[in-house]
Amino acid sequence: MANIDYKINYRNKKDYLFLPENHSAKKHIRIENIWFLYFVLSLILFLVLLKIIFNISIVIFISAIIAIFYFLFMLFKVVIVIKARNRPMVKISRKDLLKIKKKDLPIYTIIIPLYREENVIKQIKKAMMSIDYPKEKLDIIITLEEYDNYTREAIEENKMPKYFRRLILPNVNPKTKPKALNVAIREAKGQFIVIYDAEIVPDKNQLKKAYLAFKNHPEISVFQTRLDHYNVKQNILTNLFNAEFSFYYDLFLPGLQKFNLPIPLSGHSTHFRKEAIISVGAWDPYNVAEDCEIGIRLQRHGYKVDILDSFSKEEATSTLSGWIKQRTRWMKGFIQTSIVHMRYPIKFKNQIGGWINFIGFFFAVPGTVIINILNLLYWILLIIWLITKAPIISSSFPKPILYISFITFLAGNLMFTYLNLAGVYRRNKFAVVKYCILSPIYWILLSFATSRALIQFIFSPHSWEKTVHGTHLKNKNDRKENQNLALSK
Amino acid sequence: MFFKKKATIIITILSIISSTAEVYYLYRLHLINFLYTSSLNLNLARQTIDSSSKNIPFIGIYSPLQHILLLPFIWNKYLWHTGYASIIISIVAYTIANVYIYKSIKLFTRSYSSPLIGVMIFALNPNVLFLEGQTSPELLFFTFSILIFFYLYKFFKEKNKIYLFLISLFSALASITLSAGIIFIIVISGIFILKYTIFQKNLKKLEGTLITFLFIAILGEFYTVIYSLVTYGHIILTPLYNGFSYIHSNSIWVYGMSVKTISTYFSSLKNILGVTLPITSIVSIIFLYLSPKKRNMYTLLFFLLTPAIYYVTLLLIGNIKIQITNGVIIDRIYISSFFILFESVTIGVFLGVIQDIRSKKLNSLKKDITYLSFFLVLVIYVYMIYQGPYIQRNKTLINTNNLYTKSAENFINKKNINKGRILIDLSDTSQLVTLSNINLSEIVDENNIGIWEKALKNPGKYVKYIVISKTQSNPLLSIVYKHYRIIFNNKEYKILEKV
Repeated sequence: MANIDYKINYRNKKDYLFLPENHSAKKHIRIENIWFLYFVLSLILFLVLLKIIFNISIVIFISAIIAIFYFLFMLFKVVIVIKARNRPMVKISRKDLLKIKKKDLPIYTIIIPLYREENVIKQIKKAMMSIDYPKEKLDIIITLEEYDNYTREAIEENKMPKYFRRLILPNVNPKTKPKALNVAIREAKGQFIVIYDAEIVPDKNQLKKAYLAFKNHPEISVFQTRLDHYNVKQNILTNLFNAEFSFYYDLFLPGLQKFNLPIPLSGHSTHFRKEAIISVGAWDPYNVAEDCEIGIRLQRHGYKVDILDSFSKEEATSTLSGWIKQRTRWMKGFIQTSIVHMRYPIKFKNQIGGWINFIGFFFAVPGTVIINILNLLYWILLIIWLITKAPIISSSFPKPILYISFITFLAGNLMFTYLNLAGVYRRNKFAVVKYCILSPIYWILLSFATSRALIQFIFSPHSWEKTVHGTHLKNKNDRKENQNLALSK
Repeated sequence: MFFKKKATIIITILSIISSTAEVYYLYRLHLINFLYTSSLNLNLARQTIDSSSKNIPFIGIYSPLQHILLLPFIWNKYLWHTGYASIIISIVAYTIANVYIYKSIKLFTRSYSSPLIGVMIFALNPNVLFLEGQTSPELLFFTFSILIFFYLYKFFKEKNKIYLFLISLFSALASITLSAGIIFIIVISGIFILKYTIFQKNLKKLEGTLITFLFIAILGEFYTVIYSLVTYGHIILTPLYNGFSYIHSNSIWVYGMSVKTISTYFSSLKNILGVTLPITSIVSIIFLYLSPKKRNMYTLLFFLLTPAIYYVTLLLIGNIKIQITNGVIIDRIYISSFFILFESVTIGVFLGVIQDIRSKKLNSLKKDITYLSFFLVLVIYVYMIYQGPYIQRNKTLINTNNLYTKSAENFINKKNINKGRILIDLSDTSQLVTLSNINLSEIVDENNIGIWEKALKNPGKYVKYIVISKTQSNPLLSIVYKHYRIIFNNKEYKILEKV
């Protein structure tokens, strides 16, 4: 089978679409979402009554609610970060790694979903080959679309070793990464599975660490590793992206885990027990942030997630348009995940572990979307007010609300900037620290991408804007070419 | 975490007992909030709640942390009038300071007794105890000073980056407790620069560390500037007002009064324990260097640089008179506060070193240095006792001038002069400001002599009225009289109006 494409004939769609539709993001407007309509109608009625009975302005009431929401969101993050300050992660020492006997190691499956990744084939081959794990126990599945000749040719050129399998996906909709994963998981030989994207360079000993972590913690079904970038120095955007990740994977996710709150997983470098994935119905092929969604679903089914102290390096999106597209997809996925899981809010609350976990999920997933959109609105409002001093704006913020809003605005910006700064400083990335000062600008971009995600969610909920990888390699090649040119001159 | 060790619990309990006993003692002698600044501070905090002119902007007219902390208690009229509102804060600050002095000395010594003695030197210092019953920010400042020292040591020794956050946070808090807090920001930045440029030659790390530290640490100063801009509309005049060049002309009086008040008890101790000396910091370094356990060069620099930079700054600015009396440099209470802490830490560590000598854990050279240092300290203290108390006691008590203040206040309120900007000197602690119904945004407060002189050169540009206290005698005033007429005059204040 090695080095030969193989294609599975599916009898029907159920072979790879494990999720029932009412648990998937295939259709967002469903009968279960009617409760949300009730909620919105009740809120409107409440506001009208407030106006009629107490003569309280609706706008003032809304701005008060927003101010309180901002404040609570800030508080939530502070509490999480305090909990994460001592890096509560599963750590495997070098000593423990040395003790591992080769014969004890199980077969480990690595799934690499590829589509138009011809630029980074060499890199992924090198990264996979340098993994410190017996090759005979490695089961690497590369999934390919039938019509993706570019990637196939690049693979042919690079001559993959025997333990790489190429799996051709059925040419049916949806043509998404989660569908590829759903197809591949049935072919996985190992009891442990990890997904690596095309451009990932994991720590060499990550699989061994994950194996020991699974062995030492039988109660844990998923291990999320820490993510980092290898092209941080490329430009300001990559620096800021890295600062965000440093905070997210070192100060935020470990804190969520420590509180046993639902963790939105990342799309790669997450290690799973195969049976856990299968039992929850695998990934939702219609969700554009399937990683986040499956994290929440696993936890709904009682599976536990922890953070493994091992790094995977990926490519930070270095172009603004690429970054916006990628972030739009993530945020759209967050919206989909929020809607899917909150279709039955009470049931969700019971399954996820009570109100605290429900609130944790609310702040971590839909809360992030809401904050990003509100940020944009408030920035626009502030700029309009500064230019026009329009009384309609100032009248919406009576003194107490103005004070809360102002303090939250100021403290929030300072706090989140500092958290980014602390994240990179803790990772000893001292050169990145100065870029963190620009974080507020980065958040404006984030707000823009989230607003774009909201629009896309309404008009094309399942479209998948692919991130282009390998731009850092292009730059490197360009640089080399320029150098060569200069030398020849 | 705080109560992890038994010693911490014991010190906490003893601190609460001793401070409560002290407060009771002061209460019996009617010395609670005896200092006039106490009532001013209480009133400032209270005016945030019920002032007719301004609300929130009152937080910031003076270094604001104390007033912010008073807010939860000052709502209650009983706690406000009695001053107990501030005593709650004082007891907490005093307790934390004691615990961290213990912890700090413990870092340097092997013994249990020497940290306890160090704590006692601080905790039983009559000046410190007297401050328990007053509404003044000094106790808070002591607490932040020792916290900064403790976590600076931990940061350098344990390399845990969380401590950098704590150092930044406490530096920021110190700078909004007393304006002298900015010294910590300068000193710690200086230590980082020395460490990462000269000793480690890692400029990237210096850049990262400095930005991470300053991002939080300068927030206090940032607040001051923003406050000045919002309240006064000036950014140039007012930063100096709350900055390090700003002189608290009455603070030496606070310190002097506290010693005077309690001179009836602990009279024999006041010279030894209450007085301060810059040399103490040098001796501190010697002892800390000799300490057998985990000494750290950068922490020792903290002891050297803090007073050194402070004095250099004051000399450079040139508008503070460093008085040399009886051969001892005296200054305001802030500098004293450093030394009260230094003394306690130093003596604690010294005792630890002595114990090591007795148990033969030090070599002969270190022994000699220890004895020499001890001899030096002894000579200094004997000299000081011989010279007598250095604290001036001839400062005017504003209590005796209450009537004058009251009449000026009545004049301001009745004549309603609040229709133009007022230039006023010494107003930060002046009862005139806090008692009369002056809109704060209308006050241009010039307590800084240099700026006051600048202001007097052409006051007509921006103020309609000038309030001059009796203590001000400046040749420039003759220029002012050409353009301003006296509309009020008593023994304490003159009020001038633009002609």
